[in-house]
Amino acid sequence: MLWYVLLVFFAGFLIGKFISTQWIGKYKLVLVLTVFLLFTLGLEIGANDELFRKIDTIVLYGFLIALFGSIGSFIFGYVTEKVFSKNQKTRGDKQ
Amino acid sequence: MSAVILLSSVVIGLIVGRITKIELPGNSVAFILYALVFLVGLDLSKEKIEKRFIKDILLVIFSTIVGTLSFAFILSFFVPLKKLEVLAAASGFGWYSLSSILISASYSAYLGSISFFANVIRELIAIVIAPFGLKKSKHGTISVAGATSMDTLLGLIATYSDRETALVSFGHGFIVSILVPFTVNFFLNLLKT
Repeated sequence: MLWYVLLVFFAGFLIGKFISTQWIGKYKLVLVLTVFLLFTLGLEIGANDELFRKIDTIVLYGFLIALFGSIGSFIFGYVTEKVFSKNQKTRGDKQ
Repeated sequence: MSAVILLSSVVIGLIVGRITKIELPGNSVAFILYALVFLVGLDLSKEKIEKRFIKDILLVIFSTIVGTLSFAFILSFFVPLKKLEVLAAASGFGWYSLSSILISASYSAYLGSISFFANVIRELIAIVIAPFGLKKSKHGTISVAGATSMDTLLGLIATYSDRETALVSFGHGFIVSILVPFTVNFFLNLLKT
């Protein structure tokens, strides 16, 4: 499936170089397809008894992964930005 | 606003699925995903990333990947999931539609669903922290937004920061979006071996 996803993505990327793509934004097609996709995901969870019974742990683990991922990203972003700014300042001082 | 619409579509799907117990034909979800990814590819084809921002963009991408995965790894010691499962779910970096479907199709619907909520909630966290997060750290806030820093969060980031930050945000989201299928698949392959 992954290879199809990549193939389709890069096909779109290449074809888009030669055709007008304004209609995508105009009709909000990405949003429409995402809504369809997420509806089917909900449908899959709802129709699957085993999955539905686990909805509490799905949301809890999802929340924890989001929280930890966000905290980690922010800390790393904060530190690298400070270090980068410091380097820039040092370079500036030398000049 | 779009986050509310997207979350509602899952909830409505959940209710309809619960009532009707309907099962979709095997390939239907995959075809919607391909159509979506094709459109995203088309949409991105006209964009250009300015060279002078590349250093900043690479720095934020590094923060997004290393920050997310290192903290997800720490979390994996405290939840009853395999370490690689936590890493796979986290490596959607905010692109919930792609990561959840990829994981559901090639590993498990349970982990795919966790990945969906993890990445939706990540986007919501980014929306909530953006106004004050950008004052503390622009790179940090863009990093939290992950793949959504080029679409949903771009408007917010542009509003609460400056043009340069918005351009870094776009470039970061663009490259992270391309990386998502690779990172998710990387962990899924490790899980299968």
